[in-house]
Amino acid sequence: MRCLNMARIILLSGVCLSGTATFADTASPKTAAANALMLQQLDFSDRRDFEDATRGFIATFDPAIITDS
Amino acid sequence: MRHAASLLRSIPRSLRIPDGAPVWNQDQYGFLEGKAPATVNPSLWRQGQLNAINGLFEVTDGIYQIRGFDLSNMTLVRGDTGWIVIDPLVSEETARAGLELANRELGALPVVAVIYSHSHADHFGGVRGIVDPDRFAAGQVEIIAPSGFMEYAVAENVMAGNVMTRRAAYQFGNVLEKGPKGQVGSGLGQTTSTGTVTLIPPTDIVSETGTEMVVDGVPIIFQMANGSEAPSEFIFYFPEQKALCLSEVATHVMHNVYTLRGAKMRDALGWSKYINETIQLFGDDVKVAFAGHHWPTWGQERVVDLLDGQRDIYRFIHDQTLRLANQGYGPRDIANMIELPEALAQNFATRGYYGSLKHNAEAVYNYYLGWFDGNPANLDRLPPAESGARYVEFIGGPDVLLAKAQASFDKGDYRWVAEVVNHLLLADPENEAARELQAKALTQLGYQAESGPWRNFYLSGAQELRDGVMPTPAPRIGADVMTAMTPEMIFDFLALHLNPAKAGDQTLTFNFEFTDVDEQYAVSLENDVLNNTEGLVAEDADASFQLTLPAFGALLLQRATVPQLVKNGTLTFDGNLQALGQLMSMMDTFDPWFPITTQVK
Repeated sequence: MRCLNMARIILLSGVCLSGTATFADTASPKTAAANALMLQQLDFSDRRDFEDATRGFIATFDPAIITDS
Repeated sequence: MRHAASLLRSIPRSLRIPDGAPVWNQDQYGFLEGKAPATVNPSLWRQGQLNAINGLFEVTDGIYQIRGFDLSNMTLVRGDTGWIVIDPLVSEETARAGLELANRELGALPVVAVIYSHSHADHFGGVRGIVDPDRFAAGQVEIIAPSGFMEYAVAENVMAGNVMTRRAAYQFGNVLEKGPKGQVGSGLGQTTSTGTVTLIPPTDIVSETGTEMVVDGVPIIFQMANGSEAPSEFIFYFPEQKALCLSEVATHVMHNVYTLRGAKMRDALGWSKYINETIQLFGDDVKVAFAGHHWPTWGQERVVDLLDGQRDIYRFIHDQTLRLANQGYGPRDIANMIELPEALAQNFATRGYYGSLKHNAEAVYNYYLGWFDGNPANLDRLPPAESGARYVEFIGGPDVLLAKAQASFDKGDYRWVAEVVNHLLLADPENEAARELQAKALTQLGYQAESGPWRNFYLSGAQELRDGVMPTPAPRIGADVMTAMTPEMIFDFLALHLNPAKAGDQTLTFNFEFTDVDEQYAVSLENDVLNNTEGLVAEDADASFQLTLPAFGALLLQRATVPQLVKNGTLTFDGNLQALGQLMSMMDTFDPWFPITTQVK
């Protein structure tokens, strides 16, 4: 009864592991311009989120890799 | 300017973990340093830098967070005798590692309570990594969840699970390499861990706003938010610390009114109203707010600012979509017309890093009005592959289409290229020139996308066109989740595998008596439909089974045969056993690795 292969049912997001290919495509002039424009549209000098995201730091793993052993 | 990667290097290192297969690797995001390259939208790049920051953090007195160890956050609250853990990540390996880090840095305490903020797996899947089974068996671990939790934790992912698996792999970019030309994150978090998903049913259910509990000496006040970001969800407040857990109702993104992996539409207006209620209930007396994703926000004024933005983004999308729909615009018009007011557009926390304004607007239309835009020209459309072939013919053949599309590509008109070349690909999936041109267009769209899932979908599609469908291993869904399915859920799930061409006009009837839970089901095949009726014993059944739920699960998962189960005493039957085999032979199988960018054969 392969039809009930429930191990394939995802929970929220499922599916794992990294992939393979690296794209050779560079950004086209149009893409580069669109992304450059985004830099003008938002206030990237506002660093409050970075301050909040690092506030109260105690410790982390080095390397930041978790294994199943 | 301190970027994520340089920050990581500058902080003290405290723990090393044993060697083995990696289930989580934050170091692969080390490239997210400095200015965004031209191949990444700088706004998404910034969000990736923030989400890549990882470790154990103090939120306020007695409240700590593990962030950047999974897609989601795990929060630890110090009680009188142990930890109260909120949302134990996706898998038991990452949750265990997070708890170990906290115990090592803060002093070891037993876990005495767990709170599941909502029914999505990235908020419960690691529970067995942090709950001691002996303590749990002895009744020393309380597990608190919002009403409807167990039903939705399982049900939301079962019925359309196979296609969701396929699409989720695109949403999170699982097949992509991490890097400036690949996956840079998912907006909500970087990506999901790949360990074992577990589930322990809650011992305490909260179903009313205003419910107050004292958990291991810590007072908590709950606000229900069922039907906001999840069908079963609550927000809660710690009056002693004046700390507010926003769960996933309010985070640092414009979330999904509709999630691209596929799900039912969410109620944007209801969502907004919950956040408005949160401001009324807790906004005057809050010092810090934290959530199941992203970083906390400190200070009453800034918390209320965050909540104002979150409330208004969902309401804005809701109201403006319906304003335009009521004026006669269709969903695709609205997606292209709707624009955020400056204040919401300038607010990083309401930008579309996970959701997007366009697809959320279409979602609101769909929530109220469904898939049909009212135009009868769209009522009975040809299958895409058929109309694709005719478009190609009308244009003058594949070569003309490709020449025109190449000219559009050269002008940077990538959305149009994607639309028009799609017709050719649907008609002729083997056309290599079409595959490559489409891959190039999708890649540029991916490079420009601000939404993590949009980028991941575009680049995954491009990769599929170039390299074919690449299966990625499925997550290790533990036995917990499967055994949490009720017989009704299992029978309903079985029923949607039935292929009418195989069933023909056959009729079959079965009785199932689940001896361990004392439930009786009649299951009958008629009209190519498999009905199940609880509490009914069918007369003249082809076969009747008396069995336990675990035996039933083992049977369906092909881990045991009927004779084996009879032998170990978990199944007895009378009638014609072959009738069950007959039924199962009418079932289709599902394989998630079907093509998305070309026609399924």
